[in-house]
Amino acid sequence: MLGLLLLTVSISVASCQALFHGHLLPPMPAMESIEHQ
Amino acid sequence: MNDILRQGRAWMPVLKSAALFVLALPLVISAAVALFNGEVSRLALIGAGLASLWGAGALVWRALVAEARYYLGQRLDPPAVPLKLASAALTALGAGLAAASGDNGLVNAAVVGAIAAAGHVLFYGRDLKPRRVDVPSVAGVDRDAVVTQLKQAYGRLQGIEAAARNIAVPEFGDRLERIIDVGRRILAEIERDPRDASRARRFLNVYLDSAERVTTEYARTHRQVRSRPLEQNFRQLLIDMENTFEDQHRKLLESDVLSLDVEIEVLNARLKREGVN
Repeated sequence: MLGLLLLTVSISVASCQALFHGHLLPPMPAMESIEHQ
Repeated sequence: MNDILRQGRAWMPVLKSAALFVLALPLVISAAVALFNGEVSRLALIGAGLASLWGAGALVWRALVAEARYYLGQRLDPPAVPLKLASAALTALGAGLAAASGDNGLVNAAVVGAIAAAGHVLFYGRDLKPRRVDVPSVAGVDRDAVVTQLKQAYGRLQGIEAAARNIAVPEFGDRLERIIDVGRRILAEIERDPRDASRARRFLNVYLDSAERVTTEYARTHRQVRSRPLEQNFRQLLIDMENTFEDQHRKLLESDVLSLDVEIEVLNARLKREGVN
């Protein structure tokens, strides 16, 4: 099961980096832009 | 129905190959986003990563199917090409390429790839090594035919072993274990002296085949019907089988002793003739 965990983590990390331009999560909007809104 | 279940259990590990196909699915979304944004280089990296991961999935699927057939005694050798190793390399490449599309540098991609490869090896295991059957060349014996017979025989023993795992009665498991052990000793004896193959013709062509068929059939039916007469018949059959195998082994050893005796006699006569003795 450790093998499946490592596979899942590595491919998920790669997928997230591919989707969010190198980040693991979508980049948060900057505070100024929130205040501006 | 039970036969389908039994086959299903035997082929269960093959389902593990689905993991690589499923885990790579989010990359389809990443590729679609890259395509939508017109990011060609990112799309190329993600596409190559996706292709590598699915290619790895296909390779490991082939490896697991071949292993299942090998374990069930349906094929003589495991795959000659190390399919799992190739699949692990493709997995590392795929995960690395996908990570590299995030512009986090090569070190990040290499670490992600290495973790994926380690996970692959732990999850799917290593490639099986083909069984080495070393048969010396002996005049008057068709070496290749003996090697093929031995590989088939080892496959049948493996089939018995696989069927034995599905039999819940511990006593039968122990008996089958002993039968398999004697069977292996007989095959080792033939491997050492291929002339024994003709002496053990019935063992190789009839007994082993019947033993495998009966054991597989019993493993299938005893799940449907647990009847005492059936168990008693099978017990008696196993006892007979064990005795027959032991007899065969003893005969091979005796024939070795006999041929050694003859060789010593011939040598003695020769030494006497030449005046050494």
